[in-house]
Amino acid sequence: MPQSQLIPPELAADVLKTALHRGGEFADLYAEERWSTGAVLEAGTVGKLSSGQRRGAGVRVISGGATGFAYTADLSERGLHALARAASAIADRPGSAVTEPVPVTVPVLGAPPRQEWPEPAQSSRKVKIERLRYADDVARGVSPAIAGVHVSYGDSSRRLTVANSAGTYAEDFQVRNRFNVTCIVRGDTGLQTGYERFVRTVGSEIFDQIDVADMARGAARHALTKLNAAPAPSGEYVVVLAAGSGGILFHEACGHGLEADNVQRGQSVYASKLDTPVAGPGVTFVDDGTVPQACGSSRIDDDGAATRRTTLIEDGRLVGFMRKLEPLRDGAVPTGNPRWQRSTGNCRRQSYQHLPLVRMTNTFILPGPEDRAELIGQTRRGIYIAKLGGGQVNVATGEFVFGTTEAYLIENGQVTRPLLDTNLLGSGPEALSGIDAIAGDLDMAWGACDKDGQRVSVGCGQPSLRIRGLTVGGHAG
Amino acid sequence: MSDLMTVATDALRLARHGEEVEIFVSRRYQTRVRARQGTIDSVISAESIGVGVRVVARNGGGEGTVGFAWADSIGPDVIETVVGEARENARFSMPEPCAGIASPDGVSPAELVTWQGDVGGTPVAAKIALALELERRARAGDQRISAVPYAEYHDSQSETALATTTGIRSATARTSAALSVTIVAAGSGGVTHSGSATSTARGVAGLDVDAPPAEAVARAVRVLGGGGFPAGPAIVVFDPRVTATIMSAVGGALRGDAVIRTRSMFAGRLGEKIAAAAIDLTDDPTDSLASGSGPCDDEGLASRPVSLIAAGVLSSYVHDTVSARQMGTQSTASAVRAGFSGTPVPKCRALRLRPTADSQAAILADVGSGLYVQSLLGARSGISSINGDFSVAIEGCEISGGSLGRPVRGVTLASNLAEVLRQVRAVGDDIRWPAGAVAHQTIAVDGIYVGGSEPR
Repeated sequence: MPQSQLIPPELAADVLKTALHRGGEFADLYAEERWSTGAVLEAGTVGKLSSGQRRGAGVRVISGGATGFAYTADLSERGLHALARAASAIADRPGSAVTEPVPVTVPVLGAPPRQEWPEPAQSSRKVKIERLRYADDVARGVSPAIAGVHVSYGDSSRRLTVANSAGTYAEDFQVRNRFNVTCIVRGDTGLQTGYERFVRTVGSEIFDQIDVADMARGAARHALTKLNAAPAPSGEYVVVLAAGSGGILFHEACGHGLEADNVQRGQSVYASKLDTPVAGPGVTFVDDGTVPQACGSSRIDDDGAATRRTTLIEDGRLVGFMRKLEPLRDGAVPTGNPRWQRSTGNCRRQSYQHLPLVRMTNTFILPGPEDRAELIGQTRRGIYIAKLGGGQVNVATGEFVFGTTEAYLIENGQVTRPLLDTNLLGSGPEALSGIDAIAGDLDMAWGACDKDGQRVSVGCGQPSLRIRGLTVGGHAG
Repeated sequence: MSDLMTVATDALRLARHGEEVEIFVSRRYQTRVRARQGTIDSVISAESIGVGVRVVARNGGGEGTVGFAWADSIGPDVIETVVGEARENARFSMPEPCAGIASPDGVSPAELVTWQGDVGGTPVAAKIALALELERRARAGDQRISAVPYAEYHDSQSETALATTTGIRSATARTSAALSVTIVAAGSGGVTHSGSATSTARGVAGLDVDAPPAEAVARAVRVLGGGGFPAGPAIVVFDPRVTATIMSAVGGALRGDAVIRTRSMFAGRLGEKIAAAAIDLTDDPTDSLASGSGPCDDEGLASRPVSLIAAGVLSSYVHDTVSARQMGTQSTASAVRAGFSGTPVPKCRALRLRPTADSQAAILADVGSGLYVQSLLGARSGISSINGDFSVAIEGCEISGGSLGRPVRGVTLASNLAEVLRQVRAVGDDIRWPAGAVAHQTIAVDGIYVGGSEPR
């Protein structure tokens, strides 16, 4: 963490005054600096070494409930004031009620400064290339059927400052690393792919934590398995999700409906379900931005609020929603930041070029009492999902479609034939209510979450669990 | 010379002996206004600028190593740092036999009108008024509309400049404006469905404030409720948006880099019949109607029409400089970057099928009975360019008596892109280019397997 401040508190206060000079009830300033590097190994060659840097700020002004937002890459004092004036134009819009500007409280540190900042995320170019080549060598050695190997690495380090007219000033430094191995194999079922992926909120220590050879063998095995795969059957089946494989399903089909902004807009099936049963007994679903190293973790959110654990569903009942700071709309001067109480630390932005949204951090179902082997053993006929791919969901109804990338048939309590990629169809509320057994083996995975055109990394997870009746849509069967 | 071109050419002085250097500079202004319930929800005004630098280091022979770096500002000191980073990245990359940046190939750029001054010239207040008017018309438009989650005006003005030590100088400038609306329609028994539609144009004057609400409500109402469809092979008519999704996956399999990396179902099949005889597929970025049209590609070579499938026969892939060299051919000027922070990759820019039928109505009349597919669910995960297999859930309606009938949902389609291309029976001339690199047009396909479901 570089020692100098990105935007000192006094400058932030001045810029916020400019932002509110035409009126408005709230303004904030979000500045960030980000360095990232990447490297790709393809066709046996390490190339596409890249480095990038982003540095800029966004200013938001809320006036009469409408939001004005502008951003710039110019972090000079002059540039920041020009930015604040651009955002303040919202207060002048046609037909707007004139609102008196609220006095800007000089920002104070919102959280005690951190004693130790993490090291930047980058490993040396030499180390990265060595790891990429090693993974490639190992994967190619697994089988002559391997037709292609793709290995990629990426890291980012991000320093940010958030200040707002209600007196918040917070800073953070966040790092993230990823390493992916994809194998393509050729055989009787055509070209098939398999992958292993590691994404964590860790710095250059990533290579102490992962065994790239293991990942390479895993990706190769995953692809090879599909060479013997049969087309998936179609119809309604009992589905057993392996630990960590299906967190994305609950994230997409349930989590989004528990975001306060979707609830307020009437775009959530859960809008009127608070304090009612929405899942099977024993199902507890939480969002937790403090899980060490998980992909969605950070010390503060993008409003500057501390992250925390929020219980959303407790023993099957809906108990809470995820929220971000909601500025007062009546122009009253907030004292003692009353609205901080209302934030659950779920404000995120893709970058300084984006407006803050309510987003998930790491969302997961807590472990249950069952044994994983039992879940399968008790299932006469069903589908075992070891890896789930991307999906699509209608937040308003919770209906989802997810592609499986590693799935097997369960017959008479045994995992048997591998299945070609297929789809899982259903609705979030149905899937939650259909959970009838949860094991104790919680695992988390990475997900890329899109909302309103913004993409952020999230963690999502669940223990091995069984769902009664999801539609599997495959080829004729 | 534009100020961006001055920045790009100036930076070439940082190139060292034995290096090829490419400087790509871009700037974009955007305005986005969102209206909700008769008032303004948000106004975003944004300027972004940045530079992407590729350095190819030559080690004497034909081989070279490539490094890339980028930053989101273009001050002289920043560019110097970025060139240094790119050089350092090149130093650590492994040599590639075909590495390199483009050189002028003698083709002159087409004269295209891709800039409308009214995007920059229209005051923000007028853009706000447009968004409010769109939202008002959507709410007043149809009794079945129960909510308008949002209505939005969006525009963009973007300019790029590209200069290389190999002699390329190219500049592009393009504008776009759009009005989009999402509505929720309510049917009997509390069933709701959302629909969205967009009017897109080069300039503000070309926007249509009436069409999006009408189209959005038509789409929502068409699939309200909905039941099953009998399992088995059926004639399927794809809505123009669905055709774009499918053809975009076909376009992905026609990328030169995918072919080389054994990630394409069309690898090694040049000259073979891969589609119905009536299929002519062209990528033509010189068609100024196409949203992706432009005088040059993102490596600075003049755009040209590329025939990919002619009378059902695979005639070409799309190439950038590197993929062309790797396959021993010429670039098709198909290099595309995801902004200044991305390196060029070969991609289709304005892909369209030659129409064989007059209109969607004519296609439906010819089909008589079948399944109309309005949207695919799970297309992102469900269509593979690698082997062409797809298995997706759909929403649509039954075609009976040559027109659209009762809604259908909860059924899946399972097929293969190659199979679809072989079985196309008609292509509509209802071409539109709302956004992206692929034309929206209706197609009809014989004998796709519908994984039916019982009506719930």
